[in-house]
Amino acid sequence: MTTQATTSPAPRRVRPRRRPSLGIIVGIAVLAALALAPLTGSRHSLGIWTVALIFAGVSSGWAIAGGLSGLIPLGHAAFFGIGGYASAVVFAKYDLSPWLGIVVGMVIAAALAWLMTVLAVRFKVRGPYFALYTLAWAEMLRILASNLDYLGKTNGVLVPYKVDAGPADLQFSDPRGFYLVAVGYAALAMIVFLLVKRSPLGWRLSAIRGDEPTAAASGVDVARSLTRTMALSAAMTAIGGGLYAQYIQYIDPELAFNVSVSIDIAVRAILGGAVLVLGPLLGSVAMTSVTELTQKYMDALPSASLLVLGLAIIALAHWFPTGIGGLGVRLKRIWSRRSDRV
Amino acid sequence: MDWRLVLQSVIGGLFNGSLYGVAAVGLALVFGVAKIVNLAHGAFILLGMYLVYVLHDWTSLDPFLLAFAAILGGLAVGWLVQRGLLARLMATGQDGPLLVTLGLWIAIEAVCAMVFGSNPKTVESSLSDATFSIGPANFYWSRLVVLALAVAFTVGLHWLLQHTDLGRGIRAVSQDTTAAQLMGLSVGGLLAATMALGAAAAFFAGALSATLVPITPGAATNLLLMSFVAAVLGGLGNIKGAFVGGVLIGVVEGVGSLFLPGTMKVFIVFLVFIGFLLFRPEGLRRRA
Amino acid sequence: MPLLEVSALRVSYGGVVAVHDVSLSVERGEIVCLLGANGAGKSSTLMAISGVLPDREGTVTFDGRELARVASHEIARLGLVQVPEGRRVFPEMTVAENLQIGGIRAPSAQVRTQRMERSYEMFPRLLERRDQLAGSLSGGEQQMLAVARALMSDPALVMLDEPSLGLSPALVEATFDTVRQVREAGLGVLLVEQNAGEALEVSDRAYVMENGRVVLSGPASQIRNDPQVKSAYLGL
Repeated sequence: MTTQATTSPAPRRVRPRRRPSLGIIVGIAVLAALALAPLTGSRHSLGIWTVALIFAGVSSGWAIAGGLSGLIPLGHAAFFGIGGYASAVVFAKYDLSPWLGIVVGMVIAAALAWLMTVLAVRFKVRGPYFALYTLAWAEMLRILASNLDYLGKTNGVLVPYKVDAGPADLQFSDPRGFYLVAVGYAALAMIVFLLVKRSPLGWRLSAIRGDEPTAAASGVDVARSLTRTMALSAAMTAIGGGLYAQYIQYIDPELAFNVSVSIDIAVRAILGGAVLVLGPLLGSVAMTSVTELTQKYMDALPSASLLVLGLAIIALAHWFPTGIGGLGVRLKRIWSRRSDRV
Repeated sequence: MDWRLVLQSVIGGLFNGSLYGVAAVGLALVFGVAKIVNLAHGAFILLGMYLVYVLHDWTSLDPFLLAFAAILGGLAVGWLVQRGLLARLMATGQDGPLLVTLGLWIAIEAVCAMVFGSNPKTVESSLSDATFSIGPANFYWSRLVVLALAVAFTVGLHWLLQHTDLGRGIRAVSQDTTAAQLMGLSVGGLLAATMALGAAAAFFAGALSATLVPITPGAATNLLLMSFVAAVLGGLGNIKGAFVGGVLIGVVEGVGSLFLPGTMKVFIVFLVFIGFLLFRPEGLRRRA
Repeated sequence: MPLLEVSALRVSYGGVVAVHDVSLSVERGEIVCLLGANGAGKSSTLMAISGVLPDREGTVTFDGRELARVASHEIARLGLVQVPEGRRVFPEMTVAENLQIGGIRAPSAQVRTQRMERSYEMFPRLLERRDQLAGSLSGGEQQMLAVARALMSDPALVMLDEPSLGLSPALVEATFDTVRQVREAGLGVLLVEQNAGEALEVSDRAYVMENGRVVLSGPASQIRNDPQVKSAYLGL
């Protein structure tokens, strides 16, 4: 998604004075509220929101590439799935902490993303071609996973229950434990997104997104900027995949690598606003809410939520090209104007 | 190596490939003219499948006959989508159109799931059981009919683009929109015609595959992915190339199945796809 | 009443004003040229008259008809056609197909065939190249094709944007001969040129634009002798 006027146009040497933006303040407030939410009572929907938060984190990871760089990756299921399989395999087969598995997943995902992007940049695979290119990688992994005995073929990998498991095993006797882990992950992903956005790399990406030839001509190393961004984005996405597999205690090729997973990840970010810190969280919360509400009131029609989602995306493209968060941007502008930003 | 098996796989791949080809033709046309990747293409394929299912249920006519009705359905849907949802966004030159096609994909699949449920539906042609043999290998007649219809559709579309005013207009818009406008061509109308023809190809591909696969809301995904691959192989925007690309993928898949277990043949297809994206993004077509 | 009358035209691109205030007119059988430096707003003026740049104010009247509410492709149909800058033939279509596109609004197939024959008479070179892709033609041939394509619509007025750009001196001469031929056929011509010397020679009247405004206008012979024009555009 392209937006106007929210980011600096060119790389600069001088760092602008940092001040907490409205986005960050709202972000902290929302996360604090989310962390405290389960204390207020009903645990009924805790599981749903745990997953929603994991996906908020995953989408934030996607947005590092999909929002900040102007690339449109449509294959983030690749990294999500790698994270999922790595954490499941390390725990189930080697009896090591799934946290370690998550780190392994991050490294593999980042390495793959790096390789993919190096090739893509080298051979000028851009725009819609890049979307299809990334999608193809995810499909290859899906097929690979469903044919490898080591990964349990189409049955996938089960994450076993452990007797007297603790946080080190990512298993909690109290479901609020995992919920808090999800809050933490979403927060981490948003912080990383924000750090990238405000770093020199972020300015370079914004220049590339605005006009790549001009950026390259003014000395931005396009190849390095994009490969680093994709690697980081992949690593952040892999964490979410790992947490998801541990949470549902199971991973299979479709849950990990299906095209619909890639789409889901991208859509949450786009829905909320892919260039905004809060975008993926907003998008994820909105999507989960829609799913829940339609299931509650239209449970005879289980696909109603997808219909609403599809229509919402179409409407968004027409009237709110910056996502739900676009509304926030307008507020932010009013805020910035008052405090005369640098 | 077993000769019968080789024949079976290669010619079987050719038959499948014609289906990928006809689906890819629509995608390539829309990309070539409107410069957008139509993510809703798979949803159009799905609509073609269900349309044939419904019409068959209603009229009991042979599904291959109904495939022609599906073309009309595709023309109407494509035209409406372009006029109603895409035209305004294309003018802005951002990612809007891509998003709209994504939303359509999700929404149409959801509608199909709501209306038809997730139980597979099947459509039987009167030809469904008849077979013929080439040497030692046996094939269903229906596969040959699919191949013939797919080729006929592609040839017809190609003829339309080459030898009618509509086709010349569409090609003019794809090559230089402003110049076309200055020559008195209605760009909006031609883009709508393009989308209509693209959707017609998708509907037709869906209609043809309705007799071959069980119809479920997710049934078109494979065909969608294969048509992406085929369209890129053919050089996105090139009709003939897209069809040849589709046939090629079918054959690669067929040959792959000789050496690789299960679904690994598709792995080879994607490997080829990535190779093409990297080394020959312009596709099979020779270019200076 | 003049064939084309533009008054107080103002054109902007996404908020940037390219043409501030342009008024001009062209009669039948008259060549009028619009001179000015790069970025003076000449092309924007033509594109606005053709209706391709919808963000415009002022009035454009063609053959007694106000064009403000007329869609660009209808404008071409009314008999006002443009040969855009850089020729912009359809490169992957044959010469014949390019001409067919030009005549796509012809009332019947026979009429279109007649017009094609007329084009080939006017430009025998195009007949030789009939089945060649337009992209493979030389610059001069492409220019011929672009003019012939425009004439296929049987227009009353032709607007040419920089027809001599990038052509060799001999071809420039040939191009201006073509422009004269077009006038001979009774058509009005609005010519945008940077090659002011040649343009003033073929033209009946001229307008000079600077920074989106018409700063000077009059008979071509008079403009040619204007001291400022001499130093700025004719290099004398």
